[in-house]
Amino acid sequence: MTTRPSTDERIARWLDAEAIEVIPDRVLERTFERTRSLRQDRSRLIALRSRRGGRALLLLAAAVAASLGISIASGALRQPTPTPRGDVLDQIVDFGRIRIVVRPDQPQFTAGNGAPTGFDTDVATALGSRIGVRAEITFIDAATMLEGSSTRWDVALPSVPSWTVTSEQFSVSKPYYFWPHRLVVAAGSSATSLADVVAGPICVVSGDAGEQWLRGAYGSTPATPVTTSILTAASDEDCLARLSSGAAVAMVTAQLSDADLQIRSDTRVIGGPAPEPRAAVVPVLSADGRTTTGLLSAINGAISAMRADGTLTGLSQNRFGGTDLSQP
Amino acid sequence: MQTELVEAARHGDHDAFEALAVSVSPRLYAVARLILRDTYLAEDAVQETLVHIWRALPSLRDAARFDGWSYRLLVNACADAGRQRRRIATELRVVTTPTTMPDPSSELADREQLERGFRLLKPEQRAAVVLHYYLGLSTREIADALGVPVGTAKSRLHYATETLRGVLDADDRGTQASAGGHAG
Repeated sequence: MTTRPSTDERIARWLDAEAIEVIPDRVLERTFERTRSLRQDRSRLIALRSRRGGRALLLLAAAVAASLGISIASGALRQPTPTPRGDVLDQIVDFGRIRIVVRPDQPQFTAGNGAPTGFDTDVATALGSRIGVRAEITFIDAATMLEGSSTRWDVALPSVPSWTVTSEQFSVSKPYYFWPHRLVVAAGSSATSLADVVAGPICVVSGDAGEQWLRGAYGSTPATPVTTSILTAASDEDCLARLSSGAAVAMVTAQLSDADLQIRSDTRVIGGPAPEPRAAVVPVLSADGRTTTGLLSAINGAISAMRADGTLTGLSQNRFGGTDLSQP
Repeated sequence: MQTELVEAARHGDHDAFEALAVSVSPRLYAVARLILRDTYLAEDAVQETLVHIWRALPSLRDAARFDGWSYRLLVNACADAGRQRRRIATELRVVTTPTTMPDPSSELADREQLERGFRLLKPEQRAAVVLHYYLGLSTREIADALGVPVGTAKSRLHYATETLRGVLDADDRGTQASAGGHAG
């Protein structure tokens, strides 16, 4: 049995983890630019001496006048020199960490220690490594990531279709993997292609990209609906049950992988849409007003490099039962 | 070493001041970021604090009190930065992160809850928490840094800690109830 740390310990640990004792060079550079041309305020010392010497009023007045003169001459005295906000990538490199949010559910799964892990967490770690910083991963659901009102993160890996991300608020990277949606029939079915099942009903998980395909909304441009006879369900398991009972003639998978389908003897794949591209997402502007074009460029560069040297292939095969989803 | 730099800087040696600033600024920056939860404002607060230190150093009579004195200037600069933030209405919004799979066994859950609780605190309460739990200052030293009586410093720290405890306890109860629900 483990003992929960005390509140004091939890607060102290949190602050230690949050603290960053690496100050950007520009802060000191701008500080010294100001202080080199700024005289020290010796009015109090002068006042002290003058009390001892009996010439307080005269010297104090002189000191105050001098101080005021310095204040007026130094226009930047009361306001910090604006620090150029620049690109959030500079900040990430300065801090040595990149904050990446990942959804806790598929393609992640819960490991033995209770913490989510999976393909996106692997990619997040690898992205940090390619950029040369530590990846700080936090788990939040995809809908919250893309609400747009809060961006306390640098990069999100929502694992949703790229075309569903709002372009006014977010920029989308190159896809780093392509999720397949398979059109599946019962093993005993005589259907061999989409044309054999368009009369339906075809079961699909409600709200999934598979439903968008059936309704002609898969991808960035509208298309002709595949069928009008659609049966929506809450999960792949529900659709499998309807397929088995004969309530549906086919189904489109949402989260079942090719490896999952291969070990089933009661289903057969007869088609499906082109795999769904999934990409990293960055806010158009960071929470403190920095641009993110440099960061997006670095993410794209890292994805290209990881694809070229086989890193993405290896991560995919490791997490998806030997399947390489890094290629369309 | 620091005392010598403080003494030299007090007498107008700018090189000594630069060396002193390089030495103390990382800690000041960490404290400012923790209090303000905003990188840009923290940079400004540290810049403002260092400029203030340079100007006012001649008035510091005891070089050994430099640390407490610099924290006091920093906390004031953070308060100014906080007021500026409210004025220009750029308060960062709290990320509401209803994590669908809370992980009570790690520090992830704590981080989210403490972040949320911390944002409920007033700036002076945040400062008390950071000075105590991060810098390890006693309530007397916190009082000195904040420029308030010891009783006030104690009160701020107590209230802030209780607020954070309340957030953590509520989350712990939620997690236990959730676990109980699954088991049952």
